[in-house]
Amino acid sequence: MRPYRSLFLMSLRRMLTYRLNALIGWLGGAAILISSLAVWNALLRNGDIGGYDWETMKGYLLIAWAMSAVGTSYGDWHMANRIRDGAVATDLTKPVDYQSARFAEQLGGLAFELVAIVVAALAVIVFTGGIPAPAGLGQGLLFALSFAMVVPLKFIIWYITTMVCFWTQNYLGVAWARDAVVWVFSGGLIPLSLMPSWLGSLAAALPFAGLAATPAALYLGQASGTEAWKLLAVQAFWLITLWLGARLLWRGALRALTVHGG
Amino acid sequence: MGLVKARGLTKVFRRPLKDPGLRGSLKHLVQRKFKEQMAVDGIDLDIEPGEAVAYVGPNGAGKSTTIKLLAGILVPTAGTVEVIGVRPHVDRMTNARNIGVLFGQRTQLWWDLPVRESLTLLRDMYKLSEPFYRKRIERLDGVLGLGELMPVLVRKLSLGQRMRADLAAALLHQPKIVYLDEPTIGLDISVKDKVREFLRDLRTDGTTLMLTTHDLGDIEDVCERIIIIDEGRKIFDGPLADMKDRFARVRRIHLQVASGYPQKIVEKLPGVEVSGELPEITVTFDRFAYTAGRIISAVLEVAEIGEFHLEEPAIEDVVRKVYAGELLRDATV
Amino acid sequence: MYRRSLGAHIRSILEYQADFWVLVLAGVLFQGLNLLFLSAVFNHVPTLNGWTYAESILLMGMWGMIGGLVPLFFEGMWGLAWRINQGELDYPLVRPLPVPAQVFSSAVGLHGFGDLIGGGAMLGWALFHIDVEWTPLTVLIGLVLFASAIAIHVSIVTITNAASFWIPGPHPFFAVTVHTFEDMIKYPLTIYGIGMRAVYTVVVPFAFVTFFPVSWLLGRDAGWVGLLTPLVAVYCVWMARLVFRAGLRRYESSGH
Repeated sequence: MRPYRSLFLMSLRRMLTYRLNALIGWLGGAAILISSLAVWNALLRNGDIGGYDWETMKGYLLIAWAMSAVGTSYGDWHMANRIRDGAVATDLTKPVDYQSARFAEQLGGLAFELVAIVVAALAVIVFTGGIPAPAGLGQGLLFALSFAMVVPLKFIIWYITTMVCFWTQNYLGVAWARDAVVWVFSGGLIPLSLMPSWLGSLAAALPFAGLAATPAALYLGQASGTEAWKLLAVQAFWLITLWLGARLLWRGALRALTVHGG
Repeated sequence: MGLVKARGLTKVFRRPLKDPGLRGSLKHLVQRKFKEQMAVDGIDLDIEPGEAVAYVGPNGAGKSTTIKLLAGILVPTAGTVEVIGVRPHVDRMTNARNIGVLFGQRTQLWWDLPVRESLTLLRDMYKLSEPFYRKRIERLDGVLGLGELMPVLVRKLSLGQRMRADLAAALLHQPKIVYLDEPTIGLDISVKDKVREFLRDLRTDGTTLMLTTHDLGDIEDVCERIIIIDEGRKIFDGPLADMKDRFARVRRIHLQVASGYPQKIVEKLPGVEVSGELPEITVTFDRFAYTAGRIISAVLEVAEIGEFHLEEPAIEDVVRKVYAGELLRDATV
Repeated sequence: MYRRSLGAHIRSILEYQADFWVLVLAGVLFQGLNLLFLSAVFNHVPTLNGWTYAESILLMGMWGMIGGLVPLFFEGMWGLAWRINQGELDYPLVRPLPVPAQVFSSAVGLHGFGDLIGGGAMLGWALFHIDVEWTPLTVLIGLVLFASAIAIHVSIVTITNAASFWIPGPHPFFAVTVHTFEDMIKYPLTIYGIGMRAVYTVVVPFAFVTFFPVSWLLGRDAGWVGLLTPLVAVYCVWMARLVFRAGLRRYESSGH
């Protein structure tokens, strides 16, 4: 446990040193939130769309944005670049589990992301007159549970796609394609219920829904009771499956690394 | 007609004065305070065609800044500068055609392409004719061994190979004057020799050279004029021989003395200093007063020597001495 | 010469062939997302402030085409912040070519091919489904407006990235932030409030990149404003040159 704790602390400390950089990153993230709020505000001006009114959509957008902010301070590029420039060799000589170690690093940035999320939430309250509260204490707790799973789930998806770097030099296209796919199927682009039904059903079967759509649905009370537990179960299922799948992939990655040399 | 003419050339950098930490950064957003750093302070330069000038000084003296002012990369805060009658930062592109530049720490070649591609691109940028280009390549190949580098990707070159390729790139269009900022930095001795040979060869074409370096060997082998600057000001400007005669007089011999009393030579050879503790002794002497051989034979008379090595004065030592001892400015030829 | 420089960079990237196709795919996907969003919204509403589905697709397609052409020819400007930070403008400054041209052509965003495919498909489909009287003059003006729109967009990219001459740092965060806001013009401007419309017309002329030219083509009420696009373009290009030149004067290179 100790090495992971130190990695976590080191990552946290690193975030503190680069806090000015982080602040600047927040501005960019804020722009994305602001623009999506502006677009939906405009779209919903003349009435509901698909059961979403402005109040609900505000909440949805904020949650989706918050979920997308998680894991971005360390980001996948940090890991990707280390593989691409060979610095990963040092990582591999350490007596820690590579996967868990990267996760510990990610968590170090989480504190900052949470601060950013709180600040954003406050700003939205101030400038748009409030955000919806969780639809009841029970829903709130379910949301918290889902959020707790979003953190590792997001990590494992990023981690798996980053491993592509063991096989290829250029990570940019892969990262973009993954971002596009995740954006759609997590409900970040548009709430899943507003998408054409065939896409919506596909999304429900994929792991990405657990990244934004599920926590949002729980918070806004759109899913409760058995429906809620079903969503949580799917989220957990994907988390476990991907976490284990990553380990298998890892063995292949190591083989690829030694073949390519230093 | 002077090739390079600078009068009162000055460059001041404004550096933000910030308190440390996040608080400081935020405070600076509101209350902007700056401190001025005079990188180049009223320098006058006159370089004639065909000269090879060494431009030296301690780190941070303003050498690179001066080069960048001459190349048109930086805009002077005050003063004038003209290179072949053109003001570099005003008529930038005209000036660019007349000059060649090499920054030792950085490459101007395209990283993911073979050397050949970089050179053909430069050929087109400078609008060189095909026969001229081929002749230049042949010439550069002769002195730099460019041929073997042509098909290699730039990112796969070793430092020495990259430097040779960058030299070719800087000189492809046969500029009248070339600025070289630390061209031998990090190179091993065999490559350094090759580079110096190349620079000497350049002079036979009448190319003017201006080179900044920390390496005394570069200066000795290539240049006949040396300009020393420190803290943005000229300390010395004159022939290399003059400078050595005036300031680089001190030499040191480090000896490993097996037995005996080396200190005794001070009685015989006035002006010589002996320092250190047996068995490691250092003899400091004025090279105009005594030759190294004289010193060694004097020591042999009173002691037994094991190993020894002769140390030449470093440029930094000379600069320090000049600045402290005989604050000389603008010593003319 | 510009073409040669671009070519050099394309060859650089094509060293990694698989990545080329992945990038193109990413570009197509990105445009596909835009299409998906718009289609999903239109499944629930009949018009967007009077703009029909086809008209909105036209707008989005135009933005997609610009998002394809500009990265192919002008991508290098996004690397300006890094270059300033590293002192990598030294060599371009000693070459007998204009610096902005060298910077622009120093990178190629190959995903642009994908954006062109996606955006082009949307544009093509929309052109068939809108109500426009096509004459040679219309086509000519349309092309002029399209070129002007590109000039405006490239000028904005230049000016915002040139901010790095004043705000140090290896990332063009200001330019990226502005671009995020610019992205909002893929929807008809009329959906936004009057305040935003004013800002996007007068303060930063985003609206002239897609909205006004398309409004003109569709013959909408304020469509005549679209004909001002070339003038706005001249102004923007002039501003961009001014700002960039001022920035170069401030350039301090790096220690070595």
